[in-house]
Amino acid sequence: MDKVRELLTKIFRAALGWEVRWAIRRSPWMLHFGMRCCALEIPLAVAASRFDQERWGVIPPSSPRQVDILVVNGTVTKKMAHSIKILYDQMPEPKFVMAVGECAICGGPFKDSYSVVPGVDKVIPVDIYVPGCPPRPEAFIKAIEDFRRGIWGISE
Amino acid sequence: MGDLRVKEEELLSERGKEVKLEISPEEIRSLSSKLLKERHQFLGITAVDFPRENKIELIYHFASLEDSTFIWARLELNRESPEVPTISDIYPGADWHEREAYDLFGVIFTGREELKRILLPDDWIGHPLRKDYSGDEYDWQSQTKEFYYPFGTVKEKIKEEDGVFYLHVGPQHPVTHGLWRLQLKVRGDTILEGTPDIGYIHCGIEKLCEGLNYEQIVPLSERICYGSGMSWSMLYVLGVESLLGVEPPERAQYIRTIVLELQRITSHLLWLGAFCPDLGTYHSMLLYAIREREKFLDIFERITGGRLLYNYPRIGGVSRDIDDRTIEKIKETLKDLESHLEEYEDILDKNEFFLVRTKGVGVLRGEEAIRWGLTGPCLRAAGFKYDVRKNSPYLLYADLDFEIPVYKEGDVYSRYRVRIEEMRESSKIINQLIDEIPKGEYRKKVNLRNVEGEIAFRTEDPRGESMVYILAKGGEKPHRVKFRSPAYMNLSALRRMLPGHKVADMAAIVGSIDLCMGEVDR
Amino acid sequence: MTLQDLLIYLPRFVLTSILILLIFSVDLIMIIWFERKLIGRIHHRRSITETGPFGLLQNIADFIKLMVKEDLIPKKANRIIHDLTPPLIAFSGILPLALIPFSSEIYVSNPENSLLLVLAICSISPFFVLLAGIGSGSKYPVIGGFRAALQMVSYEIPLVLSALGVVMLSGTFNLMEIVRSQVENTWYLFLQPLGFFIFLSSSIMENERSPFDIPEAESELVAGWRTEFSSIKFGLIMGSEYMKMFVNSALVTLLYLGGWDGPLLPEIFWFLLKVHLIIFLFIWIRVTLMRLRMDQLLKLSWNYLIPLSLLNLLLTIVEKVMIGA
Repeated sequence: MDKVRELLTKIFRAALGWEVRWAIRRSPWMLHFGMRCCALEIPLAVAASRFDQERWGVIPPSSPRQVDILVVNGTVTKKMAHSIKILYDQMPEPKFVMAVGECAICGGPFKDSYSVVPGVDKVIPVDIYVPGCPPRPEAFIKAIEDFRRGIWGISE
Repeated sequence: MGDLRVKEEELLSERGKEVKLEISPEEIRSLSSKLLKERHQFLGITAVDFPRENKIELIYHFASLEDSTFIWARLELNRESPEVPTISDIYPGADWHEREAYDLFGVIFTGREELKRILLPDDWIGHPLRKDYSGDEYDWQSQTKEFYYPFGTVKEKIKEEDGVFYLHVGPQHPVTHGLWRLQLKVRGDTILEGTPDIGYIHCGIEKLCEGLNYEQIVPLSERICYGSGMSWSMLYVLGVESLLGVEPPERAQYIRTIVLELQRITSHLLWLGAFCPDLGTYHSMLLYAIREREKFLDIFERITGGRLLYNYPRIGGVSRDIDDRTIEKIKETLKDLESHLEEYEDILDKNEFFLVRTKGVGVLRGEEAIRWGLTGPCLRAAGFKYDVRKNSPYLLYADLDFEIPVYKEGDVYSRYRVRIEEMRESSKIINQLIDEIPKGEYRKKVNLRNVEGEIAFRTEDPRGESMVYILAKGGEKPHRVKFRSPAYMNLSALRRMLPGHKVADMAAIVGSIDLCMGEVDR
Repeated sequence: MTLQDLLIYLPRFVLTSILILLIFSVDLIMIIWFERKLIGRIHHRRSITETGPFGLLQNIADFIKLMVKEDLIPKKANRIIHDLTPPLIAFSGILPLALIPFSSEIYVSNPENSLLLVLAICSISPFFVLLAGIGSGSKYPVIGGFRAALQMVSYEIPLVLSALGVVMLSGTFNLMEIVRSQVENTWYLFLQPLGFFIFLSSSIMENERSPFDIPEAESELVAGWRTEFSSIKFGLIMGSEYMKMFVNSALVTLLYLGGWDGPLLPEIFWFLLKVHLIIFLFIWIRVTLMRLRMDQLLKLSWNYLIPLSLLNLLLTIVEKVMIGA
């Protein structure tokens, strides 16, 4: 049963046409893993009226089973690292990771701390980096536009 | 203070009486039960490590709810086997502080049930805030390599009774407003027990502070609570200034009071926005509140250059001046806010669904509120007229005319009412100051070469009473910096608020205490 | 049924089925677009704009993406139940369309007791939801599933009792006849305002939409019983929510707003217009009100809605006697 399912998935993937690539890039559903300061800018200010991420079709479902992009915004601690891994494992393919803020990229101001993992890319692979401490909402919007332009070989 | 050895008693001019006691470890229990009878609030335990003297000092801070007395109770412990009797049965709010002192310093508290780590993982090695802590023994990478069930140990310990099961809320869950885990023991739809588990974003800010200059700590202290960054960097700066005895220029004091109150409004708006989706409005109130918050962020951007984190206060003043157009803009925005507050009240107070969900839910009041260490809007909603701005005023608050909103019920609804009215009061305060800002310098030079002394400075954060403890032993870097967070104790009081409620009320109660995990975990 | 009847009936059946499915699926995408746009407007933002003109293609992109996503089945889940429930839920959402007339001409079938059948089919889906919750093998979906079952207990009785008022006035269980009697006399909205209100609120409960979205309460249960579903299964569940909304609005329209009754323009236009007005109302309520607690919902239902619907029946008898006299 599993093998049949796998085979069917493979055939389906192989037949991916431009319309599928178009759809994947235009429907970024995001799970915001808000840990520190950036959590107020990226899920919150960006969801609100002024910046309005839904213009690009961003929906924030609350279950990891239904998302495409895991947005890690904040400091990854050693206590938290394995939870991020689990969350990433729970997401269905094709999946992407966005590291938002200095802390998620390299540890930021807490780099030297005893309990901080310097960068989320030590735990899971990252596709998009959004620098800033915290990044402005405009930076995040630029990241969405970059995602739409093409990522991971799914470009036009 | 009876038979206790009173080391020094001093009257501070504006901020009220400050009493410093030196006690032996055995006396802490009798002292704290006496202070509880006299209606004193337990503020926290500050541990300081002195490797050269081979001792660990614990400082218990208490504040009176009636007048402005502020009490330090200091006791010394042997560094090799630091043991002290617990006070967590007298003040349940002290429970987490004791666990934190154990976690970071290895202080053993005797007479209490279990002493687990709180901020760091259970299998962590060593006590990181001790001065001789070195290295990185904790192997986090082995856990991420294969599939690792983080709460696997929980199930073995607990025998599941009939009809009782455990629900893990978080760390990644829509209601948590940050990262923490709530372990609920549930029968049917009723909560029997709720145990918060924190430390998921513990960054060791207090340890980092020990390696930085006094000026360098300002941006770091701001990152403690990102919901109201200004109030935390201001707290730290005010603490250092009163340690040095520096009097900043008057213009700076005016600007500081104004930005603090602006920050309070911003923070309360953020709370309002985050609270209503918990009750299940499809994000409407969230977006209305954030819409208003954006206008205040615009003001902050004009004043400081930053939207969320500002790095604005400096030791001896502020980093930039405020100009006339900004003042005009503040006035306009405050006028706008008044009409919007009425709009929010129309949406929420006249909404039967909102009232049904919030009235009589999550009640914590009377002596229980003191024992669990509630501060800020939660305490004022429980019927205590206590506000650091009034009880022991700092900055310009002594001369200002404003009310402290107090409600008696102690439930979620009254916490909401207190915050709404506090926004009005803040707007009143700013309006009193905005036209009277004196001309002159906004910053003056301060010598930070050789600082000595110790200070515990308290301010009224949007979330409650915050305190910074700074111990300086000469040189350019502090020996110990401790931040006392109000949300820390408010969150620990969840254990008292949750039992007996439905699972659905969990969202309302957790939302009502205004969490900011950054300041809880630090 | 003779062969001749069958020969006339069969092409008609196929054609109307295709027509209704076409109207419905286009309408479904439009409803989702409409909801997102409307919620955005109420929130003072623009909502989807970037994909296609006015964001019209956004839902199509979402749908295609959901189709190609990986299908995850949790380790503890019951595989058969997990695979079967989303199609079943979608099926129970779309099946009432076979019984609901879109106009006096466009309908798939017209059995004697169509209203009763529609209500019966609508009340199946909570069982599938319960099954989906249990089959997911995780705690939040189980709680969500049981909440859905409990919620059914509270809405089903007032829903049927208030519909009974209409049945008593018209004297038939047939939806076509009910509309016909409204066209001849007056809309039942005016004769049965109380019944209309009860039916509307019970419909929202049946839809599991805010303020009665207790089974999928986001702030408590992550996504309730849908938590573990991914890819097209989630798409089907999402779609079925809107199908249910369409069916419920169509029922409200048929029972109380005179169905396709209206001047000048074609009947189908009036029918769809009224249906969308009711959908607008649903969305409006969704963004405005707070979610109720389970016990409060039960209290609302058993203390208020059921006595009120009984009172409504009593009033209907009085009306009936007066009209008869």
